[in-house]
Amino acid sequence: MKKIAAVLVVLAIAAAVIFWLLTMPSRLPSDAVAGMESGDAARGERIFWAGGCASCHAAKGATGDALLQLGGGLELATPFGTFHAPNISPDTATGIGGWSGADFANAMMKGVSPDGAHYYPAFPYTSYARMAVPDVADLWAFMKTLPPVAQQSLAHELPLPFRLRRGLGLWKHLFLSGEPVVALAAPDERLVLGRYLVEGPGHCGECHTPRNLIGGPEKSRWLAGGPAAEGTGVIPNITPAGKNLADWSESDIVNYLETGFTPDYDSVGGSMVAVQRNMARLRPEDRAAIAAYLKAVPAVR
Amino acid sequence: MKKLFFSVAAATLLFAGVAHADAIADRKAEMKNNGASMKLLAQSAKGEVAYDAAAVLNALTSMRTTTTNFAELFPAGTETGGETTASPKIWEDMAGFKAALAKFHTDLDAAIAAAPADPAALGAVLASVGGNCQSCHESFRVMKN
Repeated sequence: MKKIAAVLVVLAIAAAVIFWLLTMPSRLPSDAVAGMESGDAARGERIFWAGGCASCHAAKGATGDALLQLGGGLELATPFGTFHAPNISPDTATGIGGWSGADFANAMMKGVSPDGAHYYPAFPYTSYARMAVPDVADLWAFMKTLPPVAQQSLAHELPLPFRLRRGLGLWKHLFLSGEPVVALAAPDERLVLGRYLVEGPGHCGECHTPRNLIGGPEKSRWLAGGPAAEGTGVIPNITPAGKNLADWSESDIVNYLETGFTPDYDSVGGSMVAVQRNMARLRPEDRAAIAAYLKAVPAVR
Repeated sequence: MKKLFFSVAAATLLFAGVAHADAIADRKAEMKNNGASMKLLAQSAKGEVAYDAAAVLNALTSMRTTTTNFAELFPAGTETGGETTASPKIWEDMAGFKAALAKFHTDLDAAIAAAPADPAALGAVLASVGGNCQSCHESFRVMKN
């Protein structure tokens, strides 16, 4: 009997150690983040809009210059609980003013905080992981030019099992990878740029791809839409088989991203309004590349 | 007597149902009309169709007069049904919804008064008129399919 108890104790300890090792936060290698302090702020502004940072981290309803005040704001009510977008302004006390470039890169691409905690994937690092480090460096340079906002971030409101961040390490083994999602049949420069913008900084798949029971993206239904994770309604299928996009030409998609009007002059609505306003700030060739990629992804019904 | 009461009640219910269905159909028709007007206006501003100042003014006026009663087309009981894409927020924040509609009407009145005579002038007024589509749909419409 004593022997069995001893074996059980040893097994429990082994399981705990394995769990501990599997859930350890993983950071980018130091040579990968070597250039993080020498980004270009002017180039970073494009990445800022492509990444949609302001749509969650600026105050709700912000427009114009207020979009650059990233004191935190949006409340994301999801099936796992309510997340509050934190302060990412350069304020030292309440924002990320005390961070290094490497801290920023690890947050964006590994979902790890400077003190080694896992971020919840409500922060779309699963997409940002596909970004190129030089773009993250440019973004970091731009972020540092923004006005500091002194405002304490709100704690997330989550039920107990999800309050334990350590377990997210396991989730990351399943769903965090820097690899592209769609293998392009004929990858020309435009399609590669479109894939990068959509799958990486644009993080379109975070809403437009349905999630499984544990909140991971169902990659076999990439961009095929589904019930909204947040609020009411549905997220449209934006693959070539989606009923909204099936009849749209590439120039219809470009026009929609630029003006917010569909070919019938219905308008963009809901949380896509903020996204479209961001897309309108990209270069024309960026919007053309996004449209080309959306026409090239696998059609999912 | 009882029979009569039930018939009246049934008829009332039926009528209410029809009235509700009408409200949903009517508000959809008003938005469809707005879309058609916006199409002409945007294409005129971009030079995609020949500029016809009378047609432009007619489209602006049509959006204004058609939607005068728009907020009345959301009575209690029309939150769902008829494939409505109305957001529950309309009923949670009727004052905000009405304020958004009032802003749309103010911008339209200014556009009509300006009587834009060429694509550039129309483009200038459309920037404010057209922005109402997105800002109102941001809060008050949800995609349902």
